[in-house]
Amino acid sequence: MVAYAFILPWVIGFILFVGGPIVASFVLSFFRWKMIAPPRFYGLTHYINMVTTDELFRTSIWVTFKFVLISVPIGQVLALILALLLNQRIWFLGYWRSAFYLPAVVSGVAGSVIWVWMYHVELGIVNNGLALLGIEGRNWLFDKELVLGSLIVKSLWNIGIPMVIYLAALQGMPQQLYEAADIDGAGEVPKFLSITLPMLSPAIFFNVVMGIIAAVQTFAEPYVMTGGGPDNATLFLGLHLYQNAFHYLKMGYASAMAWIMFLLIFGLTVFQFGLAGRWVYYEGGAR
Amino acid sequence: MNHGENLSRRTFLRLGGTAAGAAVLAACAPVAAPADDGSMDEGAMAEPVTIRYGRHDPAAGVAVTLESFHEEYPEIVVSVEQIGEFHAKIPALAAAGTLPDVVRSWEAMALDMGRNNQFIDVQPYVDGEPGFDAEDFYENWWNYPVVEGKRYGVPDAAAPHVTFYNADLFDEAGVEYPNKDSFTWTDFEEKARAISDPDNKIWGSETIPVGWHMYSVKQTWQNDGSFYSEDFLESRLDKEETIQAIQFWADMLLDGNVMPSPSQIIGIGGAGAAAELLAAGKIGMQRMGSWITGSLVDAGFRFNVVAEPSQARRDTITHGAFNNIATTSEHKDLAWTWLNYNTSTQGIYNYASNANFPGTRRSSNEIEPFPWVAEVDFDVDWDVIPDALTYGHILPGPANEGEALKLIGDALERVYSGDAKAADLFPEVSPKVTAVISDI
Repeated sequence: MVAYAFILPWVIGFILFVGGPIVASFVLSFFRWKMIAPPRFYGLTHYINMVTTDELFRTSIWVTFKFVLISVPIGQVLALILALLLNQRIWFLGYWRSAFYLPAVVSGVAGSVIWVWMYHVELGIVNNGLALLGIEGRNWLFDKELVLGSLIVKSLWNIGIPMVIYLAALQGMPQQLYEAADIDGAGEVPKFLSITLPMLSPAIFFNVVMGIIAAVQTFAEPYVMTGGGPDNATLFLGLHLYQNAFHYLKMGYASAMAWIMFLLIFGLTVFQFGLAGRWVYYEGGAR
Repeated sequence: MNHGENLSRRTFLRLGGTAAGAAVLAACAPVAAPADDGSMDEGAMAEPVTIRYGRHDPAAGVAVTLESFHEEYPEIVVSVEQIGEFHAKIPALAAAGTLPDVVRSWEAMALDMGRNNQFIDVQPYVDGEPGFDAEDFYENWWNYPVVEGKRYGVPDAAAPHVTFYNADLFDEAGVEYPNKDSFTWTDFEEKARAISDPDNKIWGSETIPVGWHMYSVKQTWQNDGSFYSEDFLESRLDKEETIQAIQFWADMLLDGNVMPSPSQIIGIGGAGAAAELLAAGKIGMQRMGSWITGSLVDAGFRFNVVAEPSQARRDTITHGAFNNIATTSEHKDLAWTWLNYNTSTQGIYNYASNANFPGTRRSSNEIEPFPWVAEVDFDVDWDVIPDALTYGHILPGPANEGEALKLIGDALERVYSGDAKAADLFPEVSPKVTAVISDI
C-alpha cells in the first residue's frame, strides 16, 4: 500500500497529463471539433480526407520523410566520428566534450532563434564567413531549394546526445578484443570494422531509433525559423498538425493526424526492430 | 514482502483505469456555451465585482479610461488580461468556458465567436441604454458585427490604410505630389517608377508584404474585386477583377524598378528592414495603416498623406476591433457597463489618441487634438485619414479564416514570387476557399 502511495503522484500525473490526453485525442479524431462549438461525430472522415483531399498532408509527409532520410544518417555518422575523436587522449578533453554537448541542453526554440541570426542574409555569421572565403552568401531560409538543407544542418547542432551515448559505449569496449587483434597483426581499419562497429551496434541501433522518432516529430525549428515556408518547403508533419489545431481550429483533424504520426513512428520502429537481428550484436546474445 | 494485501495490482490497475477513463471523458466533454438568454443580473453589488477584460495588447491605450471608470464605478473592478497568441488562446479559453467577461476581438474572430454562441447579442443592452446614439458610429463599423439580427460587439477605434509619401524625395526627383482628388494605380506606378533608383537602393514605393495576406485584399477592392462575397460564404478569387488586381501588383513587385522586388529585399536586410524603408527615407510612398505616423515625426523629411490609389473605385482597408461580452460571463450587466463606458465618445478617444487611430464614433473624431494628427512643422492633409473610414472596407470575416488564409496565402506567395500567374492559379484555389469558408 505504501509503495502504491509513493507512485500515486506519478500515476495521477500520467493519467491526467499524458494517458488521458492520449485517449482523448484518439476519441477526438473521430469528431469534428473547432473548440468554439460542441464536437460532432465525424466517423473516419478525417482519416479519409487526410489521404484523399489534403494535399498539404502529403506535402508534409514528403518533407518529413526527406528530412529523416538525410538528417538521421548524417547526424549519426558525425556523432560517431566526434565520439571516436573525443575518446582519444587529447588536451582539454573535458572542455571539448562539454562544448560539443552544450547545444543539446539549449531549448529547441532558443537554438532556432540563434540559427535564424546565423543564417541572416546580411548579418549572419554563415554568409559573412563565406564572404571571407570569397563565396557569395545565399538566402538560406527563404530560398525553397535551400531551406530544408538549412534545417538539416541546424539539426546537426544536437548531435551531442548520440555522441555521448557512443562515447559511453566506446569506453565500455572490452580491451582484450583489441589486444587479441593486435597480436594477430590487425590494422586500425580492420579493428574498427570488425570490433568497434559490431560492439557499437546496440548503441547505433538505439541512437537511430531515437533519432528517427525525434526527426519525425520535428516542430520547433520550422515553427520558429520558417513557419513552414517558403512555398511549404518546410511544412513538416508536426507543424501541419499544429497549424490545423491552433490556426484552423480543426482539433479533431489534428488529433487524427497525431495518430497517423504515431502509427508512422511505430511502424518505422517495428521495422527497425525487425532488421535489428541482422546487424545488431549483443555480447553474450545471439547475433 | 507482502505489499499486495490491501490493494492488489489488479485492483490498483482497475482504479487507475477508472480514473483514466474519467479523465478522458472529462477531456472529451464539450464545454457547452450557456444559452444566450440575455439575462441581466440585478442591481449593483455591495462588494466590488471584478470584470475580466481580455485584449491582445497591454492596454496602455485604455489606462486613462480605466482610471476614470474606477472612480465613477467603485463597485466594479476591471482587471485587464493581456492574452498572447490571441488567435489560439481565445478559442481555447472558450472551449474551457473561461473567457474573460469582456473580450476585445478582431473582425473575423468577433463574427466567428458570435456565430458559435460564445459572445452574447448586445443589442438588448444597446436598446436599454438611455441616450445611446448608434448613429454616431460609422455605419460600416456599426453594422459589421451583426449576424442574423444579433449584434455581437461594439467597435472602438479603426486604422485605415492611406498612402504616406516622402515629399522631399518627390522634390529631389522632380515628381509632382499625388493629387488629393484623383490618384490612380497608373499615377502611383508612374510616380514610383520616376523616383526609383534601385542601384542606390531608392524606390518609389514600399514593397508588398507577401506574408500579410490581408494587405492584398485592398488591391482587389480597388479594382472592384474581392477575396470573398459580401456574406463571406463564397470565394471571389476566380473573378476577373480579383485576378487582374493581384497580377497588376505582382508584376510591379517583380519589376524591381517600382518597389523592392523579393530578390532586392534580400539585399536590404529582409522583410523587416523593408517595412522600415519609408522612415529611413528610402522610398517615396507607402500604403499603410495610420499607426505609422508616429515613426515619421522624427524621420527628418516632410511627409504627407493621400488616399490609396484607386483603379475601378476608391477603397482601402480599415482595421480595428470590437468589444464583446462572453456568453459565460456571470456579470453581463456589469460587463456591459464597462463595455459601454470603454466605447463611449471619450473612451474611444482615449484609446485612439494612444494609437494614432481615428475612432469609429464620429464624435470621438471631433475632440481635439485629433488622435491621428502628429505635431510637425509642415502641412499635412490630415483629414485624409478619418475620411478613409467613410469609404473603406473593414477586414473580411469569413468562418474558418485561418484555413482560408493559408490557401490564399500560399497562392499569393507563388504569384508574388513569379512562380505562377494569378490567372492560372486563382481559379484552381477559389473552390477550395469556398469549401472552407462555407463550412460553418
